[in-house]
Amino acid sequence: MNLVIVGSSDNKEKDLCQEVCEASHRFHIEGIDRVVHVTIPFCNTLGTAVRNAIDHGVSDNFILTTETTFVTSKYDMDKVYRRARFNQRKGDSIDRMVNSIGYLLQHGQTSFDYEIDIPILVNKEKALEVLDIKGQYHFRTMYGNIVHGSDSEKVEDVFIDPWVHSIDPEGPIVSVGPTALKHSQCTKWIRKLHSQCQSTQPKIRARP
Amino acid sequence: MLVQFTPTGEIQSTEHATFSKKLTGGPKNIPVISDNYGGTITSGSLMGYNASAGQSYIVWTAIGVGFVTEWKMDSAAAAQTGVAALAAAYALNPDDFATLASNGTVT
Repeated sequence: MNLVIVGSSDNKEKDLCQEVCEASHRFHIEGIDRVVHVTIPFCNTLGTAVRNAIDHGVSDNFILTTETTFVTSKYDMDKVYRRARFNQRKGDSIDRMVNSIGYLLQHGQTSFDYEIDIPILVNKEKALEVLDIKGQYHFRTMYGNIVHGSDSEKVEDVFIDPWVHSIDPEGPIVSVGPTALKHSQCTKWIRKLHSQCQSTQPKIRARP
Repeated sequence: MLVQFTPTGEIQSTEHATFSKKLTGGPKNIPVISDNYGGTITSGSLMGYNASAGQSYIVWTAIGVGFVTEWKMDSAAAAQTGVAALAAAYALNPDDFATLASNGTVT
């Protein structure tokens, strides 16, 4: 199964994040045979990245994650999670959520918030059906509600931003934001995680 | 305005649906039959009169769709408070995001 890592072009710690993201996913999630990196410009969305990854020939089922998301312990990809609390976001994100909720309720779907930086298992065919819906939506929320409905577990956000000096995030999934990445203790924690994942199997860097 | 129900995490949008309160079942007042019987009960039966347990909801409906979803509140008062608080939050800023607890608190 392929791992699709979506990165942002304005990540100042891109190299470090990509390397540890990949290493931690490979180490704690079974069955990853190939990694596909997709970088999107700042304003573009996850949907664009998923479309790019599919265009590059990913496996029928693939794991979707972002380069600032790390796995700290064994993780079962069969579990599906939704966000317990919606965080206030900026205009475009709110607009997309309003559009997403509107579409979902008009089509008799559930309307949970799946915008949480947790690696998700994506089916290529179902993803394409979601991507073909016209309009500006949140990919994870659309995919999550259409494919999983309420068959998911409610969890608190895994996103950390800013970084508080002494924290040692437990995981199993930890996602960091741009402000956190400016903190030396955050990059130190990422490097520490990297060293813990060093015994991973040899890398297969098969890019499309 | 986006509204999230904290017990489930479900989100609704006032741009696409409207909310209202719905009360079902009790509490019901059982008529006083005599000085020896009666009074009020909130559920169960008394002298052949039955009162089902009260349920309180905030219901979302949309034009062209009808019923969308319902959120179970702690009590009739919580449903009343929740509806009023959501209306107030919407009046204050229709573009805002609000969370609704099952006790009717809106933040």
